[in-house]
Amino acid sequence: MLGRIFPGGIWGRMNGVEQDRQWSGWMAKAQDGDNAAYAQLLRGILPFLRVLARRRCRDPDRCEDIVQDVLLTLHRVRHTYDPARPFTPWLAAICDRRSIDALRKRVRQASYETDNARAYETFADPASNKEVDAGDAAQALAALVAQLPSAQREALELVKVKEMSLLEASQASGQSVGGLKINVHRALKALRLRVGASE
Amino acid sequence: MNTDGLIAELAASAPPVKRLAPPMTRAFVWLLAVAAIAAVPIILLSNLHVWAGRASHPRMALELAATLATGIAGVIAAFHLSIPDRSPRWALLPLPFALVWAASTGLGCWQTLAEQDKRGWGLFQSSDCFVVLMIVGIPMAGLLLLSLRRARPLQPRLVATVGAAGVAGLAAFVLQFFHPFDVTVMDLGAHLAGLLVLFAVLNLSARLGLAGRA
Repeated sequence: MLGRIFPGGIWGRMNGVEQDRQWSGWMAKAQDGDNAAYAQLLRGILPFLRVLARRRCRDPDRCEDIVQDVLLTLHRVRHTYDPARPFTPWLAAICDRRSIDALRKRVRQASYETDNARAYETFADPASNKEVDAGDAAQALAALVAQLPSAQREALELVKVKEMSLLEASQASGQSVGGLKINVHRALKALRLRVGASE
Repeated sequence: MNTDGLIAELAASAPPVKRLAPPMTRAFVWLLAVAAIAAVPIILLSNLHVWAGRASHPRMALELAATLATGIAGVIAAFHLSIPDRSPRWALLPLPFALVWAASTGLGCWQTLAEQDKRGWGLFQSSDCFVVLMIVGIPMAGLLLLSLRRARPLQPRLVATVGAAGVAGLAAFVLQFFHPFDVTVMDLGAHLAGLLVLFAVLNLSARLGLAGRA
């Protein structure tokens, strides 16, 4: 199988049994806590995993997702590898399983998600582009808040944005409860004026 | 994150791990532990003399052997399937024994029905069978789940299903020590209900417990 995966490539130059023995040795060392051998192993198996993943997936991005998923799974189940057995079938089984899982997930998603390119278009009427405008408005508001005096900004963030009680905000900021009330009031008044002026 | 970054992160966070023993060893250790635990109530509470008398009947002996074999095969298969590189064909291991078990029980039930027409439909102690199956099976299922979790199976559903078949077989085998009469139709119904509940409980808990761990 490996000869077909790497025709004339690294597998052509290196005997399959030898390669497996090397991977198996690295894995055994990794199980004993040798991080350098583990890194060598993970880098060494990448081409093999990419070829296996491409067999079940055409999209290169999705293939790389599968490869990363296999690496994470290998990391979690590395204690199940028995160095007395060949490494390649163990790895291929993990890759196969994760490829099937990815395929199932994709089919499941496709069954309830609809790809509608028009949904991302904006409308001619500016009032209809609320979603898009909301982001712009949030940025503009953040810029206005940043211009407030620091005590007012802090009071506004603690009481209105983080929704703390006046007592909690007082403990967090060191401002008195009365001071917080005044600063929140002044901050809101200033923002109303500036929003009105900018419109 | 790109793959090179992921590799660097994984390699940096890879402490030594304790290798799992071969699945056959783990299965036998588990079976021995369960046998030792189950032996206590069997010796203390069951009537072994009556059991031996019933087991001397060829059909009953076949049923007992098939029940035990289904349980042992299911457990061995579940431990093998929990390791990534083992063939999915291990899942078929308990099947022939389960078929013999089902056929033998069905035959016994039919004979009881034919010989004792009214008794064949009697409820008698069928509810006790259900209770015994639950008392024996649920702790056994919990023990199996705990042992299988260590392998973090890649196919939790398959492992759970095969393991549930194994536990059902073992629980049914233990039940026979507390079942000093032939199986009636109602008995068979209670046994089936008990095994199905046991199967469903283990399957569900195992899926929840095993899923997402690998």
